[in-house]
Amino acid sequence: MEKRIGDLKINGQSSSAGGNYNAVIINGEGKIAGDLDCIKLKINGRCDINGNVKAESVEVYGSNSIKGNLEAERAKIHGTADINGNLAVNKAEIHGSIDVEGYCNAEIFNIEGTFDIKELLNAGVLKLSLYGPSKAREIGGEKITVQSKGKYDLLSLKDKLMSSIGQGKELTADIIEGDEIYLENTQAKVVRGDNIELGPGCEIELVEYKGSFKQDEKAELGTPKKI
Amino acid sequence: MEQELISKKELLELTGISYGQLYRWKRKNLIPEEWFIKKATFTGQETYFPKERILDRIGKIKDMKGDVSLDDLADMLSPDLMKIVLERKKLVERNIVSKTALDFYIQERGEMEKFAFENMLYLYILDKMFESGKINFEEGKTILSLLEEQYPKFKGKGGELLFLRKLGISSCCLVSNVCDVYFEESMKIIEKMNLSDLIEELKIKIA
Repeated sequence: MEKRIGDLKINGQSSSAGGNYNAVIINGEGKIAGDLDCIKLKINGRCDINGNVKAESVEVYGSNSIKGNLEAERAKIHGTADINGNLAVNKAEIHGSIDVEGYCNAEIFNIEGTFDIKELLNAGVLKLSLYGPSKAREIGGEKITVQSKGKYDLLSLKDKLMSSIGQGKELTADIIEGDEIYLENTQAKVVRGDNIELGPGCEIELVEYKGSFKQDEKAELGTPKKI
Repeated sequence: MEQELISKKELLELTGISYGQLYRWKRKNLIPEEWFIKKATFTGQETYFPKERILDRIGKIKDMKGDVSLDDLADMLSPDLMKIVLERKKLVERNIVSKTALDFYIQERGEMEKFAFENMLYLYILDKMFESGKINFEEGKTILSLLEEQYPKFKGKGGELLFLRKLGISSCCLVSNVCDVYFEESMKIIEKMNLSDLIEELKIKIA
Protein backbone atom coordinates (compact mmCIF):
# COMPACT_ATOMS: atom_id res chain seq x y z
CA MET A 1 0.00 0.00 0.00
CA GLU A 2 1.15 3.52 -0.77
CA LYS A 3 1.95 5.78 2.12
CA ARG A 4 -0.82 8.01 3.32
CA ILE A 5 0.07 11.59 2.74
CA GLY A 6 -1.95 13.49 5.31
CA ASP A 7 -5.33 15.05 4.85
CA LEU A 8 -7.28 16.35 1.92
CA LYS A 9 -9.48 19.32 2.68
CA ILE A 10 -11.68 21.13 0.26
CA ASN A 11 -13.45 24.27 1.43
CA GLY A 12 -15.46 25.86 -1.27
CA GLN A 13 -15.17 24.35 -4.68
CA SER A 14 -12.25 22.34 -5.91
CA SER A 15 -11.10 19.09 -7.40
CA SER A 16 -8.49 16.47 -6.59
CA ALA A 17 -6.98 13.46 -8.27
CA GLY A 18 -7.69 11.07 -5.40
CA GLY A 19 -5.13 8.88 -3.65
CA ASN A 20 -4.35 7.79 -0.10
CA TYR A 21 -5.14 10.07 2.80
CA ASN A 22 -5.82 10.03 6.49
CA ALA A 23 -8.87 12.21 6.40
CA VAL A 24 -10.75 13.65 3.47
CA ILE A 25 -13.05 16.50 4.37
CA ILE A 26 -15.12 18.35 1.86
CA ASN A 27 -17.10 21.43 2.80
CA GLY A 28 -18.77 22.75 -0.28
CA GLU A 29 -18.36 21.02 -3.60
CA GLY A 30 -15.63 18.61 -4.49
CA LYS A 31 -14.70 16.48 -7.47
CA ILE A 32 -12.32 13.59 -7.12
CA ALA A 33 -11.00 12.19 -10.35
CA GLY A 34 -9.78 8.76 -9.24
CA ASP A 35 -9.79 6.14 -6.49
CA LEU A 36 -9.87 7.31 -2.92
CA ASP A 37 -8.41 5.39 -0.01
CA CYS A 38 -8.70 7.03 3.38
CA ILE A 39 -9.47 6.50 7.04
CA LYS A 40 -12.22 9.05 7.24
CA LEU A 41 -14.32 10.62 4.53
CA LYS A 42 -16.64 13.45 5.46
CA ILE A 43 -18.71 15.37 3.00
CA ASN A 44 -20.71 18.46 3.89
CA GLY A 45 -22.26 19.53 0.66
CA ARG A 46 -21.61 17.61 -2.47
CA CYS A 47 -18.92 15.38 -3.86
CA ASP A 48 -18.51 13.34 -7.04
CA ILE A 49 -15.92 10.63 -6.99
CA ASN A 50 -14.86 9.12 -10.26
CA GLY A 51 -13.48 5.86 -8.89
CA ASN A 52 -13.62 3.39 -6.00
CA VAL A 53 -13.76 4.48 -2.40
CA LYS A 54 -12.27 2.60 0.49
CA ALA A 55 -12.56 4.09 3.95
CA GLU A 56 -13.02 3.23 7.56
CA SER A 57 -15.78 5.71 8.06
CA VAL A 58 -17.84 7.63 5.56
CA GLU A 59 -20.15 10.45 6.56
CA VAL A 60 -22.18 12.37 4.06
CA TYR A 61 -24.35 15.37 4.78
CA GLY A 62 -25.60 16.36 1.41
CA SER A 63 -25.06 14.38 -1.74
CA ASN A 64 -22.44 12.05 -2.96
CA SER A 65 -21.91 10.07 -6.14
CA ILE A 66 -19.37 7.31 -6.62
CA LYS A 67 -18.48 5.81 -10.00
CA GLY A 68 -17.03 2.63 -8.56
CA ASN A 69 -17.47 0.58 -5.38
CA LEU A 70 -17.77 1.86 -1.86
CA GLU A 71 -16.11 -0.24 0.80
CA ALA A 72 -16.25 0.98 4.39
CA GLU A 73 -16.47 -0.09 7.98
CA ARG A 74 -19.18 2.46 8.79
CA ALA A 75 -21.25 4.60 6.49
CA LYS A 76 -23.63 7.35 7.55
CA ILE A 77 -25.54 9.13 4.90
CA HIS A 78 -27.83 12.06 5.49
CA GLY A 79 -29.01 13.05 2.08
CA THR A 80 -28.41 11.07 -1.06
CA ALA A 81 -25.81 8.64 -2.27
CA ASP A 82 -25.48 7.28 -5.76
CA ILE A 83 -23.15 4.33 -6.17
CA ASN A 84 -22.41 2.95 -9.60
CA GLY A 85 -20.65 -0.17 -8.33
CA ASN A 86 -21.17 -2.31 -5.25
CA LEU A 87 -21.57 -1.29 -1.65
CA ALA A 88 -19.82 -3.29 1.08
CA VAL A 89 -20.03 -1.96 4.62
CA ASN A 90 -20.18 -3.30 8.11
CA LYS A 91 -22.72 -0.83 9.34
CA ALA A 92 -24.76 1.51 7.21
CA GLU A 93 -27.15 4.16 8.41
CA ILE A 94 -29.02 6.05 5.78
CA HIS A 95 -31.39 8.94 6.23
CA GLY A 96 -32.43 9.96 2.80
CA SER A 97 -31.99 7.91 -0.33
CA ILE A 98 -29.46 5.56 -1.77
CA ASP A 99 -29.10 4.07 -5.25
CA VAL A 100 -26.73 1.18 -5.87
CA GLU A 101 -26.13 -0.26 -9.34
CA GLY A 102 -24.56 -3.48 -8.07
CA TYR A 103 -25.03 -5.51 -4.93
CA CYS A 104 -25.05 -4.33 -1.36
CA ASN A 105 -23.47 -6.22 1.55
CA ALA A 106 -23.79 -5.10 5.16
CA GLU A 107 -23.95 -6.58 8.62
CA ILE A 108 -26.28 -3.86 9.81
CA PHE A 109 -28.28 -1.84 7.34
CA ASN A 110 -30.71 0.82 8.48
CA ILE A 111 -32.57 3.04 6.10
CA GLU A 112 -35.01 5.80 6.76
CA GLY A 113 -36.02 7.03 3.38
CA THR A 114 -35.91 5.27 0.04
CA PHE A 115 -33.53 3.05 -1.89
CA ASP A 116 -33.00 1.42 -5.24
CA ILE A 117 -30.61 -1.51 -5.32
CA LYS A 118 -30.25 -3.22 -8.67
CA GLU A 119 -28.84 -6.52 -7.45
CA LEU A 120 -28.93 -8.38 -4.13
CA LEU A 121 -29.30 -6.55 -0.85
CA ASN A 122 -27.61 -8.88 1.62
CA ALA A 123 -27.52 -7.88 5.28
CA GLY A 124 -27.48 -9.43 8.72
CA VAL A 125 -29.93 -7.09 10.34
CA LEU A 126 -31.94 -5.06 7.92
CA LYS A 127 -34.27 -2.32 9.00
CA LEU A 128 -36.02 -0.46 6.26
CA SER A 129 -38.32 2.39 7.21
CA LEU A 130 -39.61 3.55 3.90
CA TYR A 131 -40.95 6.94 3.00
CA GLY A 132 -41.45 6.26 -0.68
CA PRO A 133 -41.15 3.68 -3.44
CA SER A 134 -38.04 1.52 -3.04
CA LYS A 135 -36.69 -1.41 -4.99
CA ALA A 136 -34.23 -4.26 -4.71
CA ARG A 137 -33.99 -7.24 -7.00
CA GLU A 138 -33.43 -9.62 -4.12
CA ILE A 139 -33.21 -9.20 -0.36
CA GLY A 140 -31.54 -11.76 1.91
CA GLY A 141 -30.50 -11.74 5.53
CA GLU A 142 -31.09 -12.85 9.07
CA LYS A 143 -33.58 -10.31 10.33
CA ILE A 144 -35.51 -8.26 7.83
CA THR A 145 -37.94 -5.57 8.93
CA VAL A 146 -39.72 -3.41 6.42
CA GLN A 147 -41.93 -0.64 7.68
CA SER A 148 -43.81 1.79 5.60
CA LYS A 149 -43.64 5.25 7.05
CA GLY A 150 -45.40 7.20 4.34
CA LYS A 151 -45.97 10.63 5.81
CA TYR A 152 -49.06 11.45 3.86
CA ASP A 153 -50.76 8.25 4.71
CA LEU A 154 -52.97 9.51 7.52
CA LEU A 155 -56.25 8.73 5.83
CA SER A 156 -54.68 6.07 3.62
CA LEU A 157 -55.30 8.63 0.95
CA LYS A 158 -52.01 7.93 -0.69
CA ASP A 159 -52.81 4.24 -0.96
CA LYS A 160 -56.04 4.97 -2.71
CA LEU A 161 -54.50 7.48 -5.03
CA MET A 162 -51.41 5.51 -5.84
CA SER A 163 -53.01 2.10 -6.23
CA SER A 164 -55.31 3.53 -8.87
CA ILE A 165 -52.21 4.13 -10.97
CA GLY A 166 -50.69 0.83 -9.85
CA GLN A 167 -47.87 2.16 -7.72
CA GLY A 168 -49.15 1.84 -4.20
CA LYS A 169 -46.38 -0.33 -2.83
CA GLU A 170 -43.43 1.09 -0.97
CA LEU A 171 -41.14 -1.85 -1.54
CA THR A 172 -40.87 -3.98 -4.65
CA ALA A 173 -38.60 -7.03 -4.77
CA ASP A 174 -38.48 -10.31 -6.65
CA ILE A 175 -37.38 -12.47 -3.77
CA ILE A 176 -37.11 -11.83 -0.04
CA GLU A 177 -35.46 -14.52 2.05
CA GLY A 178 -34.44 -14.47 5.71
CA ASP A 179 -34.85 -16.00 9.15
CA GLU A 180 -37.14 -13.40 10.66
CA ILE A 181 -39.18 -11.34 8.25
CA TYR A 182 -41.67 -8.58 8.87
CA LEU A 183 -43.07 -6.73 5.88
CA GLU A 184 -45.44 -3.84 5.28
CA ASN A 185 -46.65 -2.45 2.00
CA THR A 186 -44.46 -4.80 0.04
CA GLN A 187 -44.90 -6.40 -3.32
CA ALA A 188 -42.82 -9.51 -3.93
CA LYS A 189 -42.99 -12.66 -6.00
CA VAL A 190 -41.53 -14.93 -3.35
CA VAL A 191 -41.00 -14.57 0.40
CA ARG A 192 -39.25 -17.42 2.17
CA GLY A 193 -38.07 -17.77 5.74
CA ASP A 194 -38.43 -19.26 9.20
CA ASN A 195 -40.82 -16.82 10.80
CA ILE A 196 -42.76 -14.53 8.56
CA GLU A 197 -45.21 -11.80 9.41
CA LEU A 198 -46.97 -9.85 6.73
CA GLY A 199 -48.38 -6.49 7.70
CA PRO A 200 -50.89 -4.31 5.90
CA GLY A 201 -50.57 -3.66 2.21
CA CYS A 202 -48.50 -6.70 1.27
CA GLU A 203 -48.95 -8.42 -2.05
CA ILE A 204 -46.98 -11.64 -2.19
CA GLU A 205 -47.38 -14.36 -4.77
CA LEU A 206 -45.69 -17.19 -2.91
CA VAL A 207 -44.92 -17.51 0.78
CA GLU A 208 -42.91 -20.39 2.20
CA TYR A 209 -42.16 -20.64 5.90
CA LYS A 210 -40.68 -23.16 8.30
CA GLY A 211 -41.71 -21.80 11.70
CA SER A 212 -44.57 -19.40 12.12
CA PHE A 213 -46.67 -17.30 9.81
CA LYS A 214 -48.91 -14.35 10.55
CA GLN A 215 -50.70 -12.05 8.23
CA ASP A 216 -52.64 -8.86 8.40
CA GLU A 217 -56.17 -9.09 7.07
CA LYS A 218 -55.26 -6.50 4.46
CA ALA A 219 -52.40 -8.57 3.04
CA GLU A 220 -52.99 -10.21 -0.31
CA LEU A 221 -51.21 -13.40 -1.07
CA GLY A 222 -51.21 -16.76 -2.75
CA THR A 223 -51.50 -19.76 -0.46
CA PRO A 224 -48.78 -19.77 2.19
CA LYS A 225 -46.95 -23.06 2.34
CA LYS A 226 -45.31 -24.57 5.40
CA ILE A 227 -42.21 -26.56 4.55
CA MET B 1 -17.82 -31.37 -16.91
CA GLU B 2 -21.54 -31.58 -16.38
CA GLN B 3 -22.33 -31.05 -12.72
CA GLU B 4 -25.34 -31.96 -10.68
CA LEU B 5 -27.23 -28.97 -9.29
CA ILE B 6 -29.18 -28.55 -6.10
CA SER B 7 -31.79 -25.89 -5.46
CA LYS B 8 -31.45 -23.50 -2.57
CA LYS B 9 -34.49 -24.94 -0.85
CA GLU B 10 -33.22 -28.51 -1.08
CA LEU B 11 -29.83 -27.39 0.14
CA LEU B 12 -31.24 -25.76 3.25
CA GLU B 13 -33.36 -28.82 4.00
CA LEU B 14 -30.47 -31.17 3.51
CA THR B 15 -27.93 -29.25 5.58
CA GLY B 16 -30.26 -27.76 8.17
CA ILE B 17 -28.89 -24.24 7.79
CA SER B 18 -31.12 -21.19 7.54
CA TYR B 19 -31.47 -18.52 4.86
CA GLY B 20 -29.78 -16.09 7.22
CA GLN B 21 -26.72 -18.30 7.58
CA LEU B 22 -26.44 -18.85 3.86
CA TYR B 23 -26.60 -15.12 3.16
CA ARG B 24 -24.11 -14.42 5.94
CA TRP B 25 -21.63 -16.90 4.49
CA LYS B 26 -22.12 -15.40 1.09
CA ARG B 27 -21.39 -11.95 2.50
CA LYS B 28 -18.25 -13.24 4.13
CA ASN B 29 -17.14 -14.78 0.82
CA LEU B 30 -17.22 -18.27 2.23
CA ILE B 31 -19.30 -19.30 -0.74
CA PRO B 32 -18.06 -17.96 -4.06
CA GLU B 33 -20.37 -15.86 -6.18
CA GLU B 34 -20.02 -18.20 -9.18
CA TRP B 35 -21.71 -21.00 -7.31
CA PHE B 36 -24.98 -19.09 -7.17
CA ILE B 37 -26.54 -20.15 -10.43
CA LYS B 38 -29.74 -18.41 -11.41
CA LYS B 39 -32.33 -20.33 -13.31
CA ALA B 40 -35.78 -19.37 -14.44
CA THR B 41 -38.58 -21.48 -13.00
CA PHE B 42 -42.33 -21.12 -12.79
CA THR B 43 -42.03 -19.02 -9.61
CA GLY B 44 -39.61 -16.68 -11.26
CA GLN B 45 -35.94 -17.04 -10.62
CA GLU B 46 -34.50 -19.74 -8.41
CA THR B 47 -30.97 -20.17 -7.23
CA TYR B 48 -29.11 -23.42 -7.75
CA PHE B 49 -25.70 -24.60 -6.59
CA PRO B 50 -23.21 -27.19 -7.82
CA LYS B 51 -24.32 -29.96 -5.50
CA GLU B 52 -21.14 -31.75 -4.61
CA ARG B 53 -19.06 -28.62 -4.09
CA ILE B 54 -21.58 -26.70 -2.02
CA LEU B 55 -22.31 -29.66 0.25
CA ASP B 56 -18.62 -30.17 0.79
CA ARG B 57 -18.09 -26.48 1.49
CA ILE B 58 -20.98 -26.23 3.94
CA GLY B 59 -19.72 -29.33 5.73
CA LYS B 60 -16.32 -27.68 6.09
CA ILE B 61 -17.74 -24.40 7.33
CA LYS B 62 -19.87 -26.17 9.91
CA ASP B 63 -16.92 -28.26 11.09
CA MET B 64 -14.55 -25.35 11.43
CA LYS B 65 -16.63 -22.36 12.43
CA GLY B 66 -16.34 -23.21 16.12
CA ASP B 67 -12.55 -22.96 16.04
CA VAL B 68 -11.83 -20.12 13.64
CA SER B 69 -13.52 -16.80 12.97
CA LEU B 70 -15.55 -16.47 9.79
CA ASP B 71 -13.03 -13.99 8.37
CA ASP B 72 -10.12 -16.40 8.87
CA LEU B 73 -12.21 -19.14 7.42
CA ALA B 74 -12.90 -17.00 4.36
CA ASP B 75 -9.16 -16.55 3.85
CA MET B 76 -8.65 -20.26 4.10
CA LEU B 77 -11.36 -21.07 1.62
CA SER B 78 -10.54 -18.40 -0.94
CA PRO B 79 -8.33 -19.35 -3.87
CA ASP B 80 -5.94 -16.51 -3.06
CA LEU B 81 -2.47 -17.68 -2.33
CA MET B 82 -1.20 -17.37 1.21
CA LYS B 83 1.87 -15.38 2.03
CA ILE B 84 3.62 -18.01 4.02
CA VAL B 85 7.01 -19.59 3.84
CA LEU B 86 7.71 -22.98 5.35
CA GLU B 87 10.99 -24.71 5.89
CA ARG B 88 11.76 -27.82 3.97
CA LYS B 89 11.86 -30.17 6.90
CA LYS B 90 8.52 -28.83 8.21
CA LEU B 91 6.85 -29.90 4.97
CA VAL B 92 7.69 -33.52 5.57
CA GLU B 93 7.34 -33.37 9.34
CA ARG B 94 3.86 -32.00 9.14
CA ASN B 95 2.98 -34.47 6.46
CA ILE B 96 2.09 -31.81 3.91
CA VAL B 97 3.91 -33.56 1.08
CA SER B 98 5.69 -36.89 0.82
CA LYS B 99 9.45 -37.19 0.89
CA THR B 100 9.47 -38.72 -2.57
CA ALA B 101 7.82 -35.68 -4.12
CA LEU B 102 10.10 -33.34 -2.20
CA ASP B 103 13.21 -35.21 -3.34
CA PHE B 104 11.99 -35.09 -6.91
CA TYR B 105 11.47 -31.34 -6.64
CA ILE B 106 14.90 -30.76 -5.12
CA GLN B 107 16.49 -32.86 -7.82
CA GLU B 108 14.78 -30.83 -10.51
CA ARG B 109 15.08 -27.36 -9.05
CA GLY B 110 18.15 -27.62 -6.88
CA GLU B 111 18.53 -27.30 -3.12
CA MET B 112 15.89 -25.25 -1.42
CA GLU B 113 15.47 -24.66 2.27
CA LYS B 114 12.40 -22.48 2.31
CA PHE B 115 9.24 -22.96 0.33
CA ALA B 116 6.81 -20.19 -0.59
CA PHE B 117 3.14 -21.03 -0.91
CA GLU B 118 3.30 -21.31 -4.71
CA ASN B 119 6.13 -23.82 -4.49
CA MET B 120 4.25 -25.77 -1.90
CA LEU B 121 1.22 -25.78 -4.14
CA TYR B 122 3.15 -27.14 -7.12
CA LEU B 123 4.71 -29.71 -4.90
CA TYR B 124 1.36 -30.64 -3.44
CA ILE B 125 -0.14 -31.11 -6.89
CA LEU B 126 2.78 -33.28 -8.00
CA ASP B 127 2.63 -35.30 -4.83
CA LYS B 128 -1.04 -36.03 -5.38
CA MET B 129 -0.43 -37.11 -8.94
CA PHE B 130 2.53 -39.30 -8.10
CA GLU B 131 0.57 -40.86 -5.32
CA SER B 132 -2.32 -41.74 -7.61
CA GLY B 133 0.20 -43.56 -9.79
CA LYS B 134 -1.17 -41.89 -12.89
CA ILE B 135 2.03 -40.13 -13.89
CA ASN B 136 5.71 -40.96 -13.88
CA PHE B 137 8.64 -38.72 -12.97
CA GLU B 138 9.24 -37.70 -16.56
CA GLU B 139 5.67 -36.47 -16.82
CA GLY B 140 6.03 -34.82 -13.44
CA LYS B 141 8.71 -32.62 -14.93
CA THR B 142 6.39 -31.44 -17.71
CA ILE B 143 3.65 -30.63 -15.22
CA LEU B 144 6.04 -28.78 -12.95
CA SER B 145 7.32 -26.56 -15.72
CA LEU B 146 3.78 -25.91 -16.96
CA LEU B 147 2.72 -24.83 -13.48
CA GLU B 148 5.76 -22.68 -12.91
CA GLU B 149 5.47 -20.93 -16.23
CA GLN B 150 1.73 -20.51 -16.55
CA TYR B 151 0.14 -20.65 -13.12
CA PRO B 152 1.33 -17.21 -11.92
CA LYS B 153 -0.85 -15.73 -14.68
CA PHE B 154 -3.92 -17.08 -12.91
CA LYS B 155 -3.16 -14.81 -9.96
CA GLY B 156 -4.97 -16.87 -7.41
CA LYS B 157 -7.99 -17.55 -9.56
CA GLY B 158 -9.34 -21.05 -9.59
CA GLY B 159 -8.89 -23.30 -12.55
CA GLU B 160 -8.19 -26.85 -13.53
CA LEU B 161 -5.12 -28.81 -14.39
CA LEU B 162 -5.79 -31.48 -16.98
CA PHE B 163 -3.45 -34.33 -17.63
CA LEU B 164 -4.03 -36.02 -20.96
CA ARG B 165 -2.77 -39.01 -22.80
CA LYS B 166 -3.20 -40.02 -26.41
CA LEU B 167 -1.73 -43.19 -27.83
CA GLY B 168 0.88 -43.30 -25.11
CA ILE B 169 1.95 -39.70 -25.49
CA SER B 170 1.12 -37.52 -22.54
CA SER B 171 0.52 -33.83 -22.17
CA CYS B 172 -1.04 -31.42 -19.75
CA CYS B 173 -2.84 -28.11 -19.78
CA LEU B 174 -4.17 -25.48 -17.43
CA VAL B 175 -7.71 -24.20 -17.88
CA SER B 176 -8.73 -21.00 -16.13
CA ASN B 177 -12.03 -21.25 -14.28
CA VAL B 178 -14.25 -24.16 -14.89
CA CYS B 179 -15.56 -24.44 -18.38
CA ASP B 180 -16.48 -27.33 -20.60
CA VAL B 181 -13.65 -28.85 -22.59
CA TYR B 182 -14.22 -31.69 -25.03
CA PHE B 183 -11.60 -33.80 -26.71
CA GLU B 184 -11.73 -36.28 -29.54
CA GLU B 185 -12.28 -39.87 -28.55
CA SER B 186 -8.72 -41.16 -28.49
CA MET B 187 -7.61 -38.40 -26.15
CA LYS B 188 -7.98 -39.60 -22.61
CA ILE B 189 -8.22 -37.33 -19.62
CA ILE B 190 -6.07 -39.16 -17.10
CA GLU B 191 -6.36 -36.71 -14.26
CA LYS B 192 -8.33 -33.56 -13.61
CA MET B 193 -7.40 -31.43 -10.65
CA ASN B 194 -9.38 -28.45 -9.42
CA LEU B 195 -6.88 -25.85 -8.31
CA SER B 196 -9.12 -23.94 -5.90
CA ASP B 197 -9.96 -27.17 -4.12
CA LEU B 198 -6.29 -28.04 -3.84
CA ILE B 199 -5.39 -24.57 -2.56
CA GLU B 200 -8.12 -24.92 0.03
CA GLU B 201 -6.87 -28.35 1.13
CA LEU B 202 -3.34 -27.12 1.33
CA LYS B 203 -4.30 -24.08 3.39
CA ILE B 204 -6.12 -26.25 5.86
CA LYS B 205 -3.10 -28.53 6.12
CA ILE B 206 -0.75 -25.64 6.73
CA ALA B 207 -2.97 -23.83 9.23
